[in-house]
Amino acid sequence: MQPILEVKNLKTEFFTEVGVARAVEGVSFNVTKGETLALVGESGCGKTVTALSIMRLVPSPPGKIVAGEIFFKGEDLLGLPASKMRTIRGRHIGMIFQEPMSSLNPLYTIGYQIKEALLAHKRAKGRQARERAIQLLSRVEMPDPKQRFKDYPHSLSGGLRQRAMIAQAIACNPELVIADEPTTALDVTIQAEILELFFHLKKTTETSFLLITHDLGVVAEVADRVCVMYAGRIVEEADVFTLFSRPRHPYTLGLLNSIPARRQPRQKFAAIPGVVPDPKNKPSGCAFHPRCNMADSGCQIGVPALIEVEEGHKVRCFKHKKLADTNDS
Amino acid sequence: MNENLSLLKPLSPLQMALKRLKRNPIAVTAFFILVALYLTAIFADFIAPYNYDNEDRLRSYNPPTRIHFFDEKGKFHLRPFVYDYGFEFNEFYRRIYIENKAKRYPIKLLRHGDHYKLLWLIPSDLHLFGVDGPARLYLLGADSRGRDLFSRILYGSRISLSIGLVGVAISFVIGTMLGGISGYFGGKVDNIIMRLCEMVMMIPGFYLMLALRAAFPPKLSSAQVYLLIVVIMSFIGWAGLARVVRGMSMSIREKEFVLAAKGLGANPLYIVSKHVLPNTLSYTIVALSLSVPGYILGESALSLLGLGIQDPHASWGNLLSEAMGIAQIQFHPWILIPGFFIFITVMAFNFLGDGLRDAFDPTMEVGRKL
Repeated sequence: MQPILEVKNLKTEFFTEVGVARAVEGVSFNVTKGETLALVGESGCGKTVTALSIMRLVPSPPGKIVAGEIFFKGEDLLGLPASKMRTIRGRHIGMIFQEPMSSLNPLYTIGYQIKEALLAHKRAKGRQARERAIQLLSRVEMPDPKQRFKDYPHSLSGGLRQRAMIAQAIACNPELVIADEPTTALDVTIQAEILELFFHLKKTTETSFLLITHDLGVVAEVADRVCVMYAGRIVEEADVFTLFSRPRHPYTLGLLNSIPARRQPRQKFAAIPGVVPDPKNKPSGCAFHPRCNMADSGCQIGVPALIEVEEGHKVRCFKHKKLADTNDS
Repeated sequence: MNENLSLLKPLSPLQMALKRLKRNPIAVTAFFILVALYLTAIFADFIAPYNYDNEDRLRSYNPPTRIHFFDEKGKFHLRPFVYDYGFEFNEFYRRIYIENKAKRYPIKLLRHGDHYKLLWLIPSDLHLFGVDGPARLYLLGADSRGRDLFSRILYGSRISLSIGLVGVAISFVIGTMLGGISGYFGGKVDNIIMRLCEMVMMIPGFYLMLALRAAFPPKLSSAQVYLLIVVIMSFIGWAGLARVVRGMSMSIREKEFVLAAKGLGANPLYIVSKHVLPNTLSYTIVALSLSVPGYILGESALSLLGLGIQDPHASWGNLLSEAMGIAQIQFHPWILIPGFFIFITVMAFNFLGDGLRDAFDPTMEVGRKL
């Protein structure tokens, strides 16, 4: 199937006073129609920058997309003039931001800000826009949408604001919705509700989702396919079942092991030692080797290639065979 | 019950700030003083007993007319009355005004007098109060040409009070637009606008004002001078506002909702005008109310020096220009009264501005009952 979004070898760098931060170093992935792709990784691994690069909203300066191509429905977004790009944003690609508390303008009502999305792309006018906005609010399961339409963001809870943000993002029926950590700022019960909503939207529309998160629980819940990112690179890509049952990268394995298990109390929390490398000063070779328990001297030299170990399952690790042997036996 | 309902009504941040403002008695008082001053300015020609140029040179520096309730014989009159004044000279040939108690002149409400146009439209000759000639009613005394100071203060308030608002409105438009664009876009645009700002701010305001005034021909009609003063002062005033608005815009453009608006495909000018600038309003409203006095004082200063509004037209500044000599103040202290009006107005604007600042202060939001 023709993918709706094709990211090829994307490189985004930040030119700061203390050096060049290579936030995204050659990321490639596809999103097909109706699919939900999750981009997973720790904070600072380049997930958000990848999303902003697709929207061409990387703060510039200091950020710059230095290489790569981003095809949306066969059109290279990086080559579009700014005015054309504006018609893509919101209309064809919607984006949901991380902070529901600050992503809505405090001065305008929820309804006005959803109407804004419709008016910006001339999807509706006047009374019609109002009705459409209320309809959208009920679609994101906002309780009492007519009343909430008139509310200001400060009188809504985080979960309701996130619903309003989602309504804003899907207002023009975009083909792709990029959700940047949509549940991170919410507490667990609200997270579950929002995920439920995503699941519902996914089922009822043909919209593709690019879900950015660090929460594997969220991934297991809604994603079809997963790309695990580490230090600006995709280290493993697989469908969600394969990834959870047969991880082939030590980092993925570490992430999976560090999910706190409910049934095993008093067991030491299996965290990955060390921290995410500074994007201005990355380790040589495989960026994960200083934290990897399988690394040897070879890992410090060359960057491993992303190789397909089985159909639709790619791994960027020298040791994937060894990992497969130890885990499957 | 009603209280509960009003709590349920969603309030915008602006409405909440106004609600907080209402709880500040000083600011509310200042606000009502200003409303009263502006209303009297609008209806000046009706309230004033005489027109601004109605003169009687035989009554130069007539002191404030005494208003009587009891006549010569000690008899009480319900309607207050005045006497006509005559004068004689003392040994220094200074006029000494004496009440001529031969005839009483009752103060009449809604008396027909000088012709004017109410609200610049409706021709009328009705005045709120006055006395029949030949006596004259000088509530606050007369100036050198025997014109009623009270009437002239009312007429002068039209210029002095409106100049602040018009000036502030112009510098508000220029200042926020340029500041917003400068802060939001940054880079070269920012550089150009900010250097322009600094060029304006570099020159001491008053000298710039004098220089600009000197650049125009001295013989201009009062309306032209008025416009000129407003333009000159807002030309100086926008720079300070633009600098602060620029700073605020720089921080607001980093806010997530601006990114979200970009993500919706909004164009940059829309984002500046709809998302960035409205978020600077809480500051600009305060800054504006605090800068109105500057315009009033600026006009007064220019007029005091004779570069502003010209006689016979009145403004608080040129009314005060009569009080420049020590002898004038010594013998006719009432000609300082316009200064009192300037004082009241400036104070009221400052208190209102302070109240607004408190009302808009985000740190006041928590822990205060609405």
